[in-house]
Amino acid sequence: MRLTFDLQPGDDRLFTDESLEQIERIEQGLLELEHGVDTGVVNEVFRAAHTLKGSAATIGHRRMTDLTHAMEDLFGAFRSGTLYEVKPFADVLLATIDVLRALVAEVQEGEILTDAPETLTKELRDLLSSATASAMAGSSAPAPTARSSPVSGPARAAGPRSSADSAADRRAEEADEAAAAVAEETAEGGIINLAIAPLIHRLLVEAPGGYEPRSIFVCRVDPISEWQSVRLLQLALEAEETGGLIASAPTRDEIESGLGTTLLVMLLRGPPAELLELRKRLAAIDEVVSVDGVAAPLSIGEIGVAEVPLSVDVYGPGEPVAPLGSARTDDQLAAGPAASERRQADLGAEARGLPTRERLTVAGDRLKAAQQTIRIDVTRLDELMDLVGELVVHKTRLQQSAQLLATRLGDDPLARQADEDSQQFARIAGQLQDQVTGLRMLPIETVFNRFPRVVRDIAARLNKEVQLVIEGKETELDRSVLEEVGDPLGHLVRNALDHGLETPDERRALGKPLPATVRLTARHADGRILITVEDDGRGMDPNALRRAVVEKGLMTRDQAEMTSDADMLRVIFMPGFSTAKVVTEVSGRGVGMDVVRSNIERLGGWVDVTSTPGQGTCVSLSLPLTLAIIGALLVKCGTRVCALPLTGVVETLRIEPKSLGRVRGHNVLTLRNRVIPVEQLDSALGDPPRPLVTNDRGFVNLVVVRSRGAEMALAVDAFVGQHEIVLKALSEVTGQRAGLAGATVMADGAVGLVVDIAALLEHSSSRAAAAAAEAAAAKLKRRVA
Amino acid sequence: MAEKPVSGGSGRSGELQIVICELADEHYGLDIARVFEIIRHQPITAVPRAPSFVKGVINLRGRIIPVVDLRDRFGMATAEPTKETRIVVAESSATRVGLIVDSVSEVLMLPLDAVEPTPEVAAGADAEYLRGIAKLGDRLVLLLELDGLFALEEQSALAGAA
Repeated sequence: MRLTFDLQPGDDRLFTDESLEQIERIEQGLLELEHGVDTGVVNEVFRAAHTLKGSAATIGHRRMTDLTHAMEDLFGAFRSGTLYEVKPFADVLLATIDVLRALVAEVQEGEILTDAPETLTKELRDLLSSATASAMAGSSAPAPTARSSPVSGPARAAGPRSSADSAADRRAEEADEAAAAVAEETAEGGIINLAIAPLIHRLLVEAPGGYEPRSIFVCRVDPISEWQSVRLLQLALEAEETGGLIASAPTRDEIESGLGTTLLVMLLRGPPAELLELRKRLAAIDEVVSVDGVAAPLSIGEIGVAEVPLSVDVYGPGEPVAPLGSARTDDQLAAGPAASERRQADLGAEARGLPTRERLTVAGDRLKAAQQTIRIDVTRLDELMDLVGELVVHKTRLQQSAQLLATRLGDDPLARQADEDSQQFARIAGQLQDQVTGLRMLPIETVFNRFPRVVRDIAARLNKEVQLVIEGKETELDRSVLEEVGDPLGHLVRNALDHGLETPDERRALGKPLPATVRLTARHADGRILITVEDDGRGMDPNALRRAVVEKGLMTRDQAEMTSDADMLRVIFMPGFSTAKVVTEVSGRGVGMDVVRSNIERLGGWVDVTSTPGQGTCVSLSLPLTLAIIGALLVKCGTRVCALPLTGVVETLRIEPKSLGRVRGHNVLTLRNRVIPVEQLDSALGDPPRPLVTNDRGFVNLVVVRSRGAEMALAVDAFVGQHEIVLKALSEVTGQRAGLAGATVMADGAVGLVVDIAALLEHSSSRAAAAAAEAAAAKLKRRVA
Repeated sequence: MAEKPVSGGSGRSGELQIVICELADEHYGLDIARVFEIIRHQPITAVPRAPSFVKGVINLRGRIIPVVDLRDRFGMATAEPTKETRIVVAESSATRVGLIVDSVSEVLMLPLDAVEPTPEVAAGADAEYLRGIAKLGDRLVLLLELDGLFALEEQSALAGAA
């Protein structure tokens, strides 16, 4: 059956992109919520589900609308506090995520891809009604909201909202946003947040504001105080006196009627300075533990840019999940739960004092950030990049012309003016280039985000207890690299879980902490991006690896003995090393590690591994920030210039032709006991063979290149120099291009060909030469022996 | 990206605006909606393993564009570039390419009813890249079909490399 949707042609892409974004948001949120309910996150997933439902309904995707509706209702129950534990629902909700992705795909495919939504919708509804029923029945149970939340009514009823009028809806949504922001600012863990959020929600819904700046104060009274109501009343009166109090929850009447609570949330207006004064006075009242202030929907502070440390997110059992948006340092992580307590204590202390500027402005920043993003088709960015590249070429030419003018005219005002103008132009062009390059950069988050789910699922399947720590997810790299790095990383993470980590029983026996930790980090280092995948599992034993390589005939016993421990670990990247048997025996990883290596090397990166037996393994990947701009050695070859990416270049040599050896009609170079085939670069690329070219002093210019252990010396007419080049694709019309990665525009505007060293070595007509070199190497070895 | 021309051509209905190029004293017409620009001959970077009629690539304001020698493509004797030689940058549905022609003489409106199907004799085996023949006074203009040209090119490129 053909599905049709109410969509303009071309809009399906937009729908798909946006929906997948919302779905991913929900998935991330769920994984966080699984380990503790946080109001900010609950609101986020609720909103995402609501948005998703809206878009599905707009295009008339009924099955998707129903499913998202059921999901939204369930989230609503969390939001209103009826339900407060996500874990029992996690599996069915994650299954829903998968089905939603299929439903989104239906829009592009135009046919039904899944028959699950109907059953799932029903399942979600049943779950909700039975859970709600039992929550009602067991109201004496210690629901987290019961302890401190005095309110019922509007806030609680705000959960499943299917057909409210749109203005109220919008207002409620704004209130959500503020409630979420405030909850984040005053976060002390899910339970307290759950108490605050409904109060704030109620305040904002009951007292919709104009456009004046408003603030929310959250005041806490010492729970052991005997004068709770008195203190609350003091707080409210103090605030009323300034004339800035718009509303409070609980209200004055409620306080006076002796409602037992230690929490007062107030919505205030007034100039920031006055509010800060008020906060001081409120905090000075006896038995008041804390007064937290945050901006209500409109920010009251100025926007400050704080130095943000790399974030650390923890997913998994054991550790309490860090509240969304809060940055935690390594120290806190290392110190574990004790540090979390300390952090909470710190927060308390901080809250008693004055609000820091950051606290007041973060909410405002976040609101701004949300409004200032736009969506751009990536092809337009690529076109922009092309134009900038051309501008940069012309910049150089303009500078040359200005200099020429200066030499011709001497000290002439016109020449000086031209020189100044060209310098200015060069500066602006350079800045423009940086900016446009920056536009193509995306945080690695987009790749990392898939791993909490992957780890959760694999851990469940393997019956292992694992927490995933992600550090530095905001590290940026070029889209081109980003697209390629996901699969190798997935491989490494799976390997770490499967082979690196012990079972819970083994870990308990060894006295190692549970859950086990897999740590995924990204950071910039030396103009490259460094990604590590680290586990605290068994580690690898170099001696076990030595035995394995000898058994497999990859090395002789002597070779293995001579290899250092560090180098021995690297054998896991050797093709042919990994078989299931070896993996289980040496407790290594190895499955497809050679594939990981070749994929990373193809991107101009490299891999390394370190490991301590019993303590864990760390695989690190170093990658260029972009594939579009690469460092290359430019060489002249016949009439054209070729670019050899530096990642594959080993060294350059000038030697006399007579020092080259000849084996079976091929030139070979003997370099430090290695025999390397020699070939003219243009012939290697596929041009008709020509004899080796020598320079005017009778030397041959050679570039030794390497990929995946194979080496080759390419003879070129001349070396031009090292340059950063912009890699561009070659049209299909130019035929099969084995050995070429693309082309580039050089400073003089001519086109240079970019050599794909890996493909060249693989494909080259020099295979025969390589065979000859091997034969020669064998001969050499015999002679040495 | 250029708008794809509606079938029937670019000008008023019933007329086709074409660019007339010369190749060894023959006149060829290209739908102007497919032509991006016409540039002078410039140095071309040869690409190894490319089919012989692909002379190489040029840089057109930052874009790398393959250049096809139409003489070579049509099996005529190739010629050295002269002052008149031009590269016509055109776009088919598949790709943007430069076409080397002896010269570009004019742009004119062609009444559609002046176009006749290609006679067997003139077309030979390569009829796919001819859209038809038009008689203009005493001149015969062969109308090029770019899509056909590239389809053939890709095939021969593949065949050449196989």
